[in-house]
Amino acid sequence: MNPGLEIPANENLRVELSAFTGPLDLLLHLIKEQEMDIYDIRLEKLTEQYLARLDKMKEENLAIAGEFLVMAATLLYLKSRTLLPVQDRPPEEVEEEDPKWELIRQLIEYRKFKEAAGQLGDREALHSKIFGRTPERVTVPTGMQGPGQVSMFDLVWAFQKVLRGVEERARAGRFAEDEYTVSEKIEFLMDRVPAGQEVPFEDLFRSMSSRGEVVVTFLALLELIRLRQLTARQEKPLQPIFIQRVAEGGARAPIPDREEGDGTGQPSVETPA
Amino acid sequence: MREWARVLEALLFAATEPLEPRRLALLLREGPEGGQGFPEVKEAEVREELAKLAEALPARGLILREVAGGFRIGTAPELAGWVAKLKGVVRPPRLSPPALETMAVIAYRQPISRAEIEAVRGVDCSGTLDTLVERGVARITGRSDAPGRPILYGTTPLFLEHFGLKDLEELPNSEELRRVKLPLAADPAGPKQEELIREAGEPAAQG
Repeated sequence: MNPGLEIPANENLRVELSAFTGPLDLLLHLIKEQEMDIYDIRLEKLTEQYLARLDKMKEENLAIAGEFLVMAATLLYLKSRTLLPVQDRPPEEVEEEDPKWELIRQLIEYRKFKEAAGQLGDREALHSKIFGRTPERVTVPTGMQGPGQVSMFDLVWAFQKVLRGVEERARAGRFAEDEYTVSEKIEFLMDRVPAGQEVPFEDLFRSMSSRGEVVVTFLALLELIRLRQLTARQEKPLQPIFIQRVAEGGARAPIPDREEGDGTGQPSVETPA
Repeated sequence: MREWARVLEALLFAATEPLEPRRLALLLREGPEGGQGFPEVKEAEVREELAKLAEALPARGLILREVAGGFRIGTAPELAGWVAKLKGVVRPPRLSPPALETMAVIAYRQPISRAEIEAVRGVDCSGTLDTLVERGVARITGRSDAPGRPILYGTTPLFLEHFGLKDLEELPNSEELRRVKLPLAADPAGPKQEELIREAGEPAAQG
């Protein structure tokens, strides 16, 4: 079962519930332990053993997942059914096959997947021992590096300040929540930051009063920085951040293809190993 | 040894994901930025060199694996202890037994809904599903046309890599397991069970 799970020698019945992935797992374990044929399970014995396990766990104050109780109810139902003479069964059930088979089918199917899971686990054990190169730490786009430049963290920090301000304004009683799109805000930012001018980061959000609008605008700003259209500048840490256009000649870096990226939307820079 | 075999090895070494032979052939034909490539390289030749490399690498403490439709260089498994120490990895991140079970059901039966997975496993799977999606080995592939339009789950390329599989066909016993008839989420045993719980006064554990 679970490697590392210690079973005290004097109490070989004491297997914690957490060792089983579910009631079907526990049933399979009991069937094996009782050396039963899965196609010919002895319901009475199985139910008895199953309930004994549950009682044991209750004694130990272990939380028993609801599914284990559902299975207990099912087993009791199936067992009680075997005690009824056929003519006393509810009429709608006389025609049907023994519902016990439903459980057996489920057990057989579950067992196949449990075995498959075991095989996957073996593969995982082997392949987790193989180390490959992992993507380098996501590096900030070159447009944002260098002296006087702004790191992603600085931007996020400044953004959080803006966001707090907005929340205060929002509390003052504004409800209208329009829908904003990143592309709309990209246009807005390109208008707002004309070539050759520097605009303080916070000014970009001045007119905004909803959290959604601020968030979308910030996303648009990040996108523009990624696309090398805008750049952020800061004299010293904690000083105001200014946003400006990237000079025409400075936009030499090709716009990275979204599909080619590493999924983070940030171009990563390989460092030589 | 073909003159571009060194290039091939460098590409595989530097890559952080499996590289398909087709893509490798393309890269070799195109050549470096502003440089001369090897316009005659064919995919079959790339495969030949890959096979040679796979034979040569273990002597150097590395292996070449075919995973997730491509080839990838990794460290030899028997050297895991050394590499783990270098990387400060205490234990390789492995999935728990419940997560592995859920993973197996998804792998063989995808696309599959949560209710269908739960019908097989007999337990609530929302937690393990979240884990698998978070770990990037499972993903939401869409919605079923069944009532309620449940979300469907499937495997990702990272799943193949995590378990060292070339493709889904390489799953052990895939023929047999795919033919397994799944108990339907809404099969006749279901309602009966739920009635029983209601009678017993227990809250239904599964939604």
